[in-house]
Amino acid sequence: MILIWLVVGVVLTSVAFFLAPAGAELWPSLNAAGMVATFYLLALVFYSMRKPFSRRARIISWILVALVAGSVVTSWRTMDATTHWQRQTLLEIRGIIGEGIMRASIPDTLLNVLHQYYEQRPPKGASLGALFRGLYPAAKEGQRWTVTSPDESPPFIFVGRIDENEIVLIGQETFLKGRDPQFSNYDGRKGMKQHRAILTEKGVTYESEN
Amino acid sequence: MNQKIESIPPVPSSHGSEFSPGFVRALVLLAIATLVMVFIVDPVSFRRYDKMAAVSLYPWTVAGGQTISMGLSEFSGKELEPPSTSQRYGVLISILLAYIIGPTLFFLGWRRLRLEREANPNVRGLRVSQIPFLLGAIMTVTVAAPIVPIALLQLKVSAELRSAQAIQRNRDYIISGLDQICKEALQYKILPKQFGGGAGSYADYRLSSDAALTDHAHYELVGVTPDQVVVSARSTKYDNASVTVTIDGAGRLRGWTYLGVFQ
Repeated sequence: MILIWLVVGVVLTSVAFFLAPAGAELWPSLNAAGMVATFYLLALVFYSMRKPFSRRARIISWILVALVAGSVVTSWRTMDATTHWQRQTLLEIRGIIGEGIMRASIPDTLLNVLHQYYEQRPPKGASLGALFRGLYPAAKEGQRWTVTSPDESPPFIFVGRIDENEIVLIGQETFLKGRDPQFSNYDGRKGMKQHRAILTEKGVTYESEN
Repeated sequence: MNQKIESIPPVPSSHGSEFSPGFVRALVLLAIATLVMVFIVDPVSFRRYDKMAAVSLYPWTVAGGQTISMGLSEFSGKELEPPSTSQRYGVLISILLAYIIGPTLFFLGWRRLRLEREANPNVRGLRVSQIPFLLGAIMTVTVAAPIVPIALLQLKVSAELRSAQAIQRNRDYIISGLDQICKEALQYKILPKQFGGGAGSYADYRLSSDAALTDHAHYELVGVTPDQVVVSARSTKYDNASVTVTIDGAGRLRGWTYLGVFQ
């Protein structure tokens, strides 16, 4: 009898585990197997605790089973919810950091150019474009620009355009999704967050493109 | 409902000794089983080697660890890797051991023991046939005994974590908002009056309505001079929580002061 129960339990749980969609996480398989194991355990306890066990023994056993099962479900669901929330939080923090880099590196660079531009004594000598090229010789139009170090991680900053009176910088994430999944990003990716900052002699304007 | 009681074959008497014939053998097997439990089926999840299956009596901790690991990969911009075969098998083995094999041996072994005692009330002592029951009991109790405090502790830790993170998130958004105000103020100072700037001075700088109130804080200028601006941000989510900072003449943020839950 024990062997039959064992075989049935192992087979049903394993089938549920492998039939669940195998995604990037273990949770779908684990949850499917857990559901089957729960029904199996209920049937097992119901079968095992029949006569000759006394009514008192049955009641105590069911109370203990309910307490343990409730705690298992609580622990299981809490872990599921908490770790997914933590994963989401990590992404959100990454988004805040990325946004901060885009909102710090790009404006700092462009405001520096703007400051130099208005520091010139009239009549103004150099254009915005000439000042930008002079201050940041590594920045090439159409290319990725590593503002502080060559191994900078995302978000990436690209030099969109360097005109005499207008400079366009683009900040782009490489894996954080933006609003439109079909949006074509500057480096050819699709659907990532992207900001555009435009410097003219009236100041810097920002645009969230995706 | 008619309940059926299985018939149990008579068990030979052991002449009243506490140590039935299979006792020593059972003891050795039990010791081996215990060693297996301790070193292979450790209640706390572990992975000795990369290619070894992660086995835990609480398999959801393994799945949780893998979810966090994916979050960290996303955080650092790495490609997501699906769970390895050893991870998947480890979790399956865990759930089979802890929630199928252990309880089955325990409950059906207990029932068998009870039926044997019903059939032969004089039988005492440990027999080889009871080893599965003992193994099942060890596994079941190992899972069941700590689970109630673990579940309660998890609920408490999860609530504390969420609360702490909510405060930190609000603070981060406020710092980010102050940084944007700093850029806006510096641009104001740089621009000439013909383009709405201060021509080298912060003196008439005012916050735009968009910058003054966000979902996270209410910002206000508490002191403006030609060379510096003092900005205060009061949280809209936590009473008495605020951040105050000074924007110096070069557009740098200095003298951060945190009050309330932000301290």
